[in-house]
Amino acid sequence: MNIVHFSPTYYSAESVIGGGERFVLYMDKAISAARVEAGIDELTSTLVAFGSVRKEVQLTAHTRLLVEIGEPWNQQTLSAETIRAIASKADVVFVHQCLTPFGLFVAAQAKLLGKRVFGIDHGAGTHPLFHHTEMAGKIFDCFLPYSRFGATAFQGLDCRLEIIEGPVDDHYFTLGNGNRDPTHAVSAGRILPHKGFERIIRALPDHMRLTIVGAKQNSDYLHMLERLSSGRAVEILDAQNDESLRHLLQTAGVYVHASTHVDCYGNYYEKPELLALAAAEALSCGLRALVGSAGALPELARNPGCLCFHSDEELSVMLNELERRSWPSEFAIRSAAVATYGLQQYGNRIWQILKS
Amino acid sequence: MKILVISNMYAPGFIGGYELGALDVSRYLMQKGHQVSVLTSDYFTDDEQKLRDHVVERILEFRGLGPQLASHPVADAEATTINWRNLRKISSAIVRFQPDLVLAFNLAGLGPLGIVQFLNAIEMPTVLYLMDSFRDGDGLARYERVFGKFTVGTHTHVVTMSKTLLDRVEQYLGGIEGRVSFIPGWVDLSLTRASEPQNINRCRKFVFCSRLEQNKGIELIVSVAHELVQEGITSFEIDLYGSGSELSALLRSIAFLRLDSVAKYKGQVEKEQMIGLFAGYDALLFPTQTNEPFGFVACEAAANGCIPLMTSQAGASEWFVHGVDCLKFERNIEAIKASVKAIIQMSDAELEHFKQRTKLNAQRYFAMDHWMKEIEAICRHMVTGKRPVVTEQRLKQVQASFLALSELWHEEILQ
Repeated sequence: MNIVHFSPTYYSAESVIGGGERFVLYMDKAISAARVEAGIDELTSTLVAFGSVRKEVQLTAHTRLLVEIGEPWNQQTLSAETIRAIASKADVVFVHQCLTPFGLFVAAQAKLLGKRVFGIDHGAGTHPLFHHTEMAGKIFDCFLPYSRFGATAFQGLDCRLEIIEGPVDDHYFTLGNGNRDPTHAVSAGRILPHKGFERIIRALPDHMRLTIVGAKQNSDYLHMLERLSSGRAVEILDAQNDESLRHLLQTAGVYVHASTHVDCYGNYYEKPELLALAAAEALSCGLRALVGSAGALPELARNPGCLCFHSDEELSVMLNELERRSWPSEFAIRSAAVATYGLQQYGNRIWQILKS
Repeated sequence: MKILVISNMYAPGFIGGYELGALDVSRYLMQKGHQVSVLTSDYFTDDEQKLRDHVVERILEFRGLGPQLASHPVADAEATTINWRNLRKISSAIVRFQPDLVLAFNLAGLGPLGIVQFLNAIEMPTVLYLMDSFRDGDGLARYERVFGKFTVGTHTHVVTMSKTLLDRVEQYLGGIEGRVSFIPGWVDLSLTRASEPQNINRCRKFVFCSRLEQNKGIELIVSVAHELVQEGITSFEIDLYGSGSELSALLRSIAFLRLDSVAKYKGQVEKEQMIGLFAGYDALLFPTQTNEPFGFVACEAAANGCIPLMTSQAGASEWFVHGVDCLKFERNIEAIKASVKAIIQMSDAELEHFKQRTKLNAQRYFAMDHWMKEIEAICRHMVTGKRPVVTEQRLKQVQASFLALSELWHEEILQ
C-alpha cells in the first residue's frame, strides 16, 4: 500500500517545530506499527511538505520526506500538477491542515483523481467554504480529529467523522530509570502567547522550579516571560532535541499545560489545543500532568494522573498541594496513556477505517 | 440512448452554422428514437414554442456575446475557463436525466474547460463536437495551475469539422489526446433543387450568404466588385444575403461606389429556403477568415451546383479540391478577383460542367443522412458496453472538488 501525507509544513527547524508537524511523523509510525496486525505486507509512505528548497530525505526504511518548492500558506505558489503527480501514485491520501486553503487545494486534486482522501485538522485555520456549505465535506472520505473538541470543527459537513485520540510515540516516550524531582515542573510548546506560560509562572509556588521548553517564535512574548521570571526558579529553553525533552519528562515532578482561548494580550484563539501532544507525551512517560480547560485539554484529564484546572488560582492550589494529593503510579499513568494515545491503538484504528 | 446536449446557444434562434448544426443533430437523434434533453443558456428564447419536439432547459450562464454591461475579471475568466454554477446545473441535469452520453456542442462562454474536465472526472461518455474553437483567453495558465493540465480525457471523443479547427484548438490548449473524428458540414439533399436553365452568354451570377461581418469578408467582396467594374467588367451580378453589424456599411458602400447594378442586398432568408436558392447561382463568394472552422454554406451551395470560391485556409476548403469542385484563393482582393474573373471568363459549357461536377461531388460527400448516421455511430460506440457508472456519490465528490478549486481560483483572480 502506498500512503501519501500532504502537510504544508514539516517538523524541522527549517520549517515548523510544532505538534501539528510532529503529529505527521507519529501518525506514520503508528500506521507502520500496526500494519502487520492489519495484514499489510508492503507499505510505503511519502510525507510531502513545502518549502523554499526542494529536498528528499529517507526517514525510515519505508518512509521518505519530500519537500516540494512552494510557500505552504500561499496556495498560489502550489501547482495542481505537482500535487497530482505525487497523489496519483497513492492508494490513500492524508491531508494535514485539511481545513485550510492548502488542505482544500490538495484534497480536491486527490479526490479528482479518485483517491481515498482523509483530512486531519491541526488548527491552522479554516477556509470560509467549510462554513458556507456542507458540500465541502464531500471532498474527503473521512475526517480524523484527534479529540472531541477537534471534532467540533467538522460539524455541519457532509462527511464521515472518526475520532482517534493520539498518536503519541509511546515506544520513545517511556518510563525513565531515575528518580523524579517532585519540585520540578515542566511545560513544553512553542513560545507563543496562546500557550499561556505566564499563567504557570505566576502560579508557581516558591518551593518549585519550572522549565519551559519550546521554539522561541515570539520575542515580545518571550521578553514578557523573562521579565515575569526574574528572581524566580524559571528557565526557558529553546526547542530541545527529543532526547532532552524525554529526559525532562522522565525526571520532572509534574507537567503543566496552560494553553488558553484568550491570551495575555486579549487575543482570542478558536483552537488553542486540539490534543496537546506534549501533555500526552508526558503521560506516556508516566509523568502526572495538570492541564487547563481550553480546547481539548479537559479531555486529557479523563486519564489517570491528569487533572484539569479552570483558573490560575486553581492551578496555583494544585501546584501547592501537589504532594498532598494521591496520584496513580507512574506505571498506571503510562499504561492508561498508551492505551488511549499509543501508536498501536492509533494504527489499529486507522487500519480499521482504511479497510472499512 | 439518453443524450444530454449542452450548447451555449440553441435554436430556434441562431447566429451561424454551429447552432443550426446542433439542431440538425438533435432532431436526427430524436427521429431515431433516442431521448434528447438540451441544456443551454437563455441567449435565445423560445417564447413561441417553436421547438415543441424538444426538451430544452435554458438555464446555463453564458457570457461572451451580446451586451456586456461591464467587464468583470471573474465573470470574464469564468466564461473562458470554468463556471462552477454551470457545472452544478449540468450535474443536476445528469442526476435528473441520467444520460448515457453528453453531446457537447459550442461550450464557449459557458466555462468550456471546466465542463470538459468535469465530465471526464465523472467518467461520463462525452462527444465534444467542435464546430468552432473555444474562445481564446489568457487565463489558461492560471486555470491549469489550479485545476491541472487541461485534457479532454479518455472518456471524450472529439468530433471536428476540419484540421484547421483542430489545430486552432490544440494551439490554445496544447494538444488534444484521445480519439478524434473528422465530420464535415452537411446539407439536407431533400432541400436541393435542380439547376435552373441558363441563357447562353448570360452574365455570371454570384451569391454571398454569411453573417455580414468583416471576418466573413463582405468588405472584400465590395472591393472586388468595384475593381471589376473599374476594369470595365460588368457581366456579373452579386446577390448578398444575411444580416450583421456591417449591413449599414455595406449598403452605404454599394451606393457610394455605384455598384447598384452588380451588387444587390437581398435580406436574410431562412436556411431551408436559401439552400434551394443556391441552384440559381453560378458561384458562392466565401472570402471568410483564414481560421474559419468550416462554413456550412460552402457545402450547401456546392450541393446545388453553386461553385464555392473560398479562402484556401478555411475549414471547408479541406473537403474540396481546387479546380475540381471549387476555387480556392488567398484572402486578398487580387486573388479573389482572379477567381471571380475565372468564373466570368469561363465558357458556358465549361462552367456548366464545373457546376455539375461540383454538385455531384458535394451531394456525394456532404449528404446529411450519411453524416448523421456517422454521428449516431460515434455516440453508440461511446456508450456500448459501458453503462455510465456515475454514482451520485462520485458526482457529489467531483462537484465539491470543483467548487473548492473554483473558490481558490476566484480568490486568486480578485487579489
